[in-house]
Amino acid sequence: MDDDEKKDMCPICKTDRYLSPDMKFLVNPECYHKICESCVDRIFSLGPAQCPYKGCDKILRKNKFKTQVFDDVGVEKEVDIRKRVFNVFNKTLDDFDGDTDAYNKYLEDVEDIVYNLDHGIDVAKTEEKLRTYEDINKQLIMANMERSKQDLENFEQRQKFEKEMKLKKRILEKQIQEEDMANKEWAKREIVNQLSTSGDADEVIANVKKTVKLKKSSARRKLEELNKVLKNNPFMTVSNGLMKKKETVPFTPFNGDRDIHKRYTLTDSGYFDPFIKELEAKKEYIASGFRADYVYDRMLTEAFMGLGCVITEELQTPQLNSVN
Amino acid sequence: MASSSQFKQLEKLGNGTYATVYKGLNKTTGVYVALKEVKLDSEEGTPSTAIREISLMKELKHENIVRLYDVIHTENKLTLVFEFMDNDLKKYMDSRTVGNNPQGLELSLVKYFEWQLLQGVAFCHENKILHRDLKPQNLLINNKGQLKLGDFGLARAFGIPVNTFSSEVVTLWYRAPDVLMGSRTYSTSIDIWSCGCILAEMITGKPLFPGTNDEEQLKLIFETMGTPTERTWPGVSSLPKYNPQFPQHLPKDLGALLQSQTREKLDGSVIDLLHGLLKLNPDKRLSAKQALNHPWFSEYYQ
Amino acid sequence: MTATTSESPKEPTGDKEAVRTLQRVTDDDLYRHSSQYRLWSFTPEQLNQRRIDINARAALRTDQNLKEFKEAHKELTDEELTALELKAVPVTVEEEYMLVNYYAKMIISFAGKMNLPTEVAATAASFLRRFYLVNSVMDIVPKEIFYTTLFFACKSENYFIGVESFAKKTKSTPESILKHEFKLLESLQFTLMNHHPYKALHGFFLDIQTVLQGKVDLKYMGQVYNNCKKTITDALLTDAVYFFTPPQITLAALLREDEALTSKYLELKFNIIKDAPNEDGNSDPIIDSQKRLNGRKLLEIIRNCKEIISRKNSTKQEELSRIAAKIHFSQNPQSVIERVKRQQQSSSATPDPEESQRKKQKT
Repeated sequence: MDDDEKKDMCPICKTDRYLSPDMKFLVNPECYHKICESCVDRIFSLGPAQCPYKGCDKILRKNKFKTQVFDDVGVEKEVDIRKRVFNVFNKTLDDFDGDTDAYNKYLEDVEDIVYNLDHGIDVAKTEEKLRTYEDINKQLIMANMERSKQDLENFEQRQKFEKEMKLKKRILEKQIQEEDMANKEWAKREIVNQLSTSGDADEVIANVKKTVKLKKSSARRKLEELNKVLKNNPFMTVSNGLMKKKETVPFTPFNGDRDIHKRYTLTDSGYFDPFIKELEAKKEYIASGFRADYVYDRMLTEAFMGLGCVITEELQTPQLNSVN
Repeated sequence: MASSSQFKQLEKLGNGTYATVYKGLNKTTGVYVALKEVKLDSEEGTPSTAIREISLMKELKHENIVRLYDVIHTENKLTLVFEFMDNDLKKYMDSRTVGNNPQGLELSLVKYFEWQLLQGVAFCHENKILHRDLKPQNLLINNKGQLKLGDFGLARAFGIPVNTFSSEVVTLWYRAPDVLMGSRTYSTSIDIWSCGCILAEMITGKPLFPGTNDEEQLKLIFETMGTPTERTWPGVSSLPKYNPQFPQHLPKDLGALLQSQTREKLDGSVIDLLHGLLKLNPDKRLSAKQALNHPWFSEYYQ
Repeated sequence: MTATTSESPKEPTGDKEAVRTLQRVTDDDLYRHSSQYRLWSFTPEQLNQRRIDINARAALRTDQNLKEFKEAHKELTDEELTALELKAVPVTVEEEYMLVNYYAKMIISFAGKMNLPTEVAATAASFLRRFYLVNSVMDIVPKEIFYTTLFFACKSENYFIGVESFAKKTKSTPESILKHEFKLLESLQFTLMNHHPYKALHGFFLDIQTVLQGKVDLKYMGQVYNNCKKTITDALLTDAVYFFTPPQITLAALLREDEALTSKYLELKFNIIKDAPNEDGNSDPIIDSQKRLNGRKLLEIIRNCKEIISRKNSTKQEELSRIAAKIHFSQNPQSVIERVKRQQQSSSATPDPEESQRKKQKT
């Protein structure tokens, strides 16, 4: 039997996903052995029991079973370990007052713990370390948990806000559409009505149109308002085409802050350069946008690009550079 | 140097010009990356497209160019580890199609994307690099609204344009008329033409010149932009694939044409920029720098 | 969780970049962003240290191998052990340097014979030399990476030759050419873009015309240009490429070609007052607050560069054979033993075993 087939079959009851497509696999973080849902129900409903895998002596509880997210059990396991460790070691850069080195050191230590647990190195000792840290830092951990919960809540609120706004927008748009239809109908009727009493057709039509314009409406104004609100919402994503204002001005290497000072001036009278002259005369080159002065300009740029870099000095003291 | 075990390969994102791209997870940092897998050709070794991409991407660090983090070698393949982007412009525009009707993007978004596109292109050109395959598929975007140039498999460095370039570059729809007529001495202006086509496509949601072969492509371009003459484009008749029998067309009103395909209100300024990017004569086409200084972008340079 | 990135460590630091974005980005800054500056430029001390470290690492490995070899072969005679002590020793830093430079020179002349463009030849030489700033000749001998480097330079300079026809032309095999290709790519730290001084030369050729207008014969300038191209190619085989930027090397080559002409150009271009009191301008920054280049200091840099590119480094053929043999013996102790045995058996039969050994090395 090849691996692909194995992947879709419960090794306990031998049910095949091919035959029962609704089948779901679960794993228990104790050993990560894959067991189908109905087997889990069957074996563990009465309480903790030994893993049915041959040779596995882990005692498993039903409530610890979970759906496997990643195909690779190794990754699944690592992700779980990460989750557990990060729930305890949940400091952020803020906790280090922005000291990146200290923070990185901390992250590395945490990574070591994850690595050890993942690879079964010094498990007892590492678990002990984890517990000790948890006991000592209970307060900090709780505070950080609260903080990340807050972040999540903010995010959710934001999403809710956007959703509401969009819904409102749609309602308004629909309202405007209906109004427009109604107005059109009304104008039609009104024109016919007035024409039956008055004579000047043009005047009547102009008058009616004016009225319609005035009628256009509070809904439209509201929509404009709403659009403004949406525009100023700092959390807008691409999906509605309005950017965070802060990000609309990206780093510009060439407009604002590109040095315009050149170390050479291009001569108008041309240069002695048989090679370029020859190219310049070819019609195909002309048609392709070949321009001798562009080439000259480029070559001159090359000539002075890096002329002012003093490698022996700059690399000696990497924090300094000659432009200052 | 990273090893392949550091990354967990996730779903396939698509096929590049010479490789397959997967989403990947850096297991040690938890950061998503794009993994571009290049099959090593036992005949020729590392494909020259991969060499070009590696070579150029290692020099280009700009916020509108996708970052190459690392290269990994495993048995018979090379994996290029790129910065992960959520989407590409093509897929993004497709996702907004309503029924069978493509939808243009909001004008404010079009402007922001085009601005970033031109920033990236200007940076390449300043570093003497031609991208040579700009198209919506190769423009990657993320949900912060950033746009970055990707896929430098056809890109190359340029000096004096000598007669060695291939004219088999740039996906047909975005290929400049001079290249279509067989020019092999083109320069930066070929990327600019593509930027123009992309700008129009973002506005309407539809490719501007969707030809199916070289001849039809030129025909579509001339129908809209007018047929060039020796007067409007000196030397054009000496291009290898120039045909004196090209049907003569007068330029159409590009503004009206695009306006009929979008609900957004197009002003004269954006149409003027388009005309600058889509000049038939490559010599008259704007440079990326000039385009960035166009009044349409004035809100970006306070 | 982005505590680490896989970027190479010698990147400009974040702070530095931040400082620079506040200022205007100059053409010099563009060069500072290149991999040639970031990864392949060194001070003489750094370069020296790097060579020492690489050599020491490989020498240690060699010594260890030898020790293991001795332990595994307890039956060795005293005579054989003495031969080992004598022959199977690691090469020195200087010997590595000589060997690499010889092959770099070879690659350029070989590229010439194959009619490859100048830039391809220059890139191949640069790749080969950089490869040995990461590896020792004791790890991979230059002969083994020679064609790989040339083929790879063709690819990265967009001068495409199929590996089959390349192998035919070089009388090697596709397998041997491709065998170390990734090792090469990796050793180059995936940076393949070279800035050679030839383009800068073209630029100065133009600018000299402007600055010395009417003072210089244009035909003669053309001659200087052509000669200078050769000087630059020679300069690419010196350590100047690590200590100086392409324009600086170009000016040094021009200075070497025609001292009077180039000095005049530099004087007028950078306002160097000729007989000004010889103050110590060395500590001044090269660029003043008005963004002007400090001409005196520039001249100083160019003179230093000229001195380095003028150094003759021809190594005698016998010397090279000796180094090659040394590498061979130190990496294959068994061959020393075999040699001793052969010598013992046929001390009368073969008059000069040294000679035959040398012939073997050459092939």
